[in-house]
Amino acid sequence: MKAAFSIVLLAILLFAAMVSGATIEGPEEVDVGKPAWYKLTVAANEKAFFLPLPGSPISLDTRYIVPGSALFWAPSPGNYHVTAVCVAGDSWENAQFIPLSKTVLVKGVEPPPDPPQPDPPDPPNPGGKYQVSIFYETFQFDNMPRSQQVMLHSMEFRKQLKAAGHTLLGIYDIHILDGAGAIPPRLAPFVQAASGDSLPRICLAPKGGGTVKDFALPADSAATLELIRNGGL
Amino acid sequence: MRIINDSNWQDVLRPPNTDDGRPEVMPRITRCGSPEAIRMGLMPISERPDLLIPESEWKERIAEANAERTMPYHHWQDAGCVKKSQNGYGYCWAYGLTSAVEMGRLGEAQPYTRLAPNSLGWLVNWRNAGYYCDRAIAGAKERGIASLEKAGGSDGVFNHSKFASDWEEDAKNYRPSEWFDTGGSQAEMARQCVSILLIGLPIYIAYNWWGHALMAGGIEYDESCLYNIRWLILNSHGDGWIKLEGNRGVPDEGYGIGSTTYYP
Repeated sequence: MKAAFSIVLLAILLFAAMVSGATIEGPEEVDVGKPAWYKLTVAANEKAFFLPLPGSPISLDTRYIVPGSALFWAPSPGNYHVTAVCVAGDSWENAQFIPLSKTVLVKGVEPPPDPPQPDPPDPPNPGGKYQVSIFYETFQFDNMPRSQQVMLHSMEFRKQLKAAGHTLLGIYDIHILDGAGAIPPRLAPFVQAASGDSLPRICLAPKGGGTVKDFALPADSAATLELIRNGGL
Repeated sequence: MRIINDSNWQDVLRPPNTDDGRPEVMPRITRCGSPEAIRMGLMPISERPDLLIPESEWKERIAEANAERTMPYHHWQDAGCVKKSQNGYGYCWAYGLTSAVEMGRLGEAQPYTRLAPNSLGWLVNWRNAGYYCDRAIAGAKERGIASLEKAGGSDGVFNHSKFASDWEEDAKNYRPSEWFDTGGSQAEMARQCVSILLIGLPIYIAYNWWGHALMAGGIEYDESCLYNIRWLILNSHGDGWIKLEGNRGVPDEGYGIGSTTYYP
């Protein structure tokens, strides 16, 4: 219905323009995203104004219309209509209003849609239950403080983690590989999170799944349990 | 727990169980820190000076390690591991290494999987023969150690025709990847091995006086002992954990496992 209305309206405009001799001058093709100037040409006893046409694709931004000219710009390819109205006659009482239109083909490739925004990270969840993994570099053991060295292999620390409802996925060298010589798929998000940062690091992910967050390994087991208890806050 | 010291050490000696009568374990081929050893992945711990714990700290550190239960001996107990027996074969070089890999996995919080020492039999062409610790490590790094489930189902089965068809694939899941090497005088060996155990790593060890390879998994501090150390050793001659003191306690070779492959 809307399309039929536009076609009838355009036909009327073309006919009217032929009667008055008023025209919209400017390029018939423009590249997408590139601005173009359009100018109204009228007879001595005529005035004309650019005017958006209802029911058709956006033609002109009224912010860019100056006397006699208008700036056209389209963000995506397709057919557009630059529209105006011509006022003909010697006086306002005898004025005729003649619609004008010019079809503009906007060429080019539609720009790709904006990439989807990543999901916002899970908010800290104090008291939540986590999958926990710790990564270190074997040959940098000597750079770790004694309390961290103790924590890495402490059965007491592991028991406390388990008692608090967390799951310890492991305590690994950052270069951990599986039997096929690849990064283990289950550990991959954790390894990725810990990689590139100063080691040792602790990674937390909600037990039910979610974003992996990584932190510098706290100084000792008490501070580490506190970090996990607070969900990394 | 049985205690072996400088006065009763001869009680544990026995003829080698190898078919050719040669020792079950022979002195290492490579020297600690040599290019050949490093190519095998054996990194000398002496190059990590901060890891070497001064003797003045041993008493406090050992008490802390035993309280926090950080050593392989503690992991072995908590995981409900099963002691191994060579069943009359001369494969101690494989049993000690296998126990060390099992404990290395536990240290990483991987589950206990009982591994099959005899799946390393390819290193001696499936004969009942002795071997070298350093070369055994290189072999295990390359091909791994199969689980007992895939390799005969019980200790002492070293006929690979009785293994599951996929035992070699299975073995790749259990490979030690990084090692600390030890070397030097007896005092230096003691210091290096104590340091490795105090950071929670198992040590694959060998004694020349015994012609035997085993796994060291813990230490106690006792001022009546040489270097004030009593060593907790897992013996594959069927008696499980034993304690060694005095000159008999300090290993002649020691290799600490740094990491293993992931296979939960």
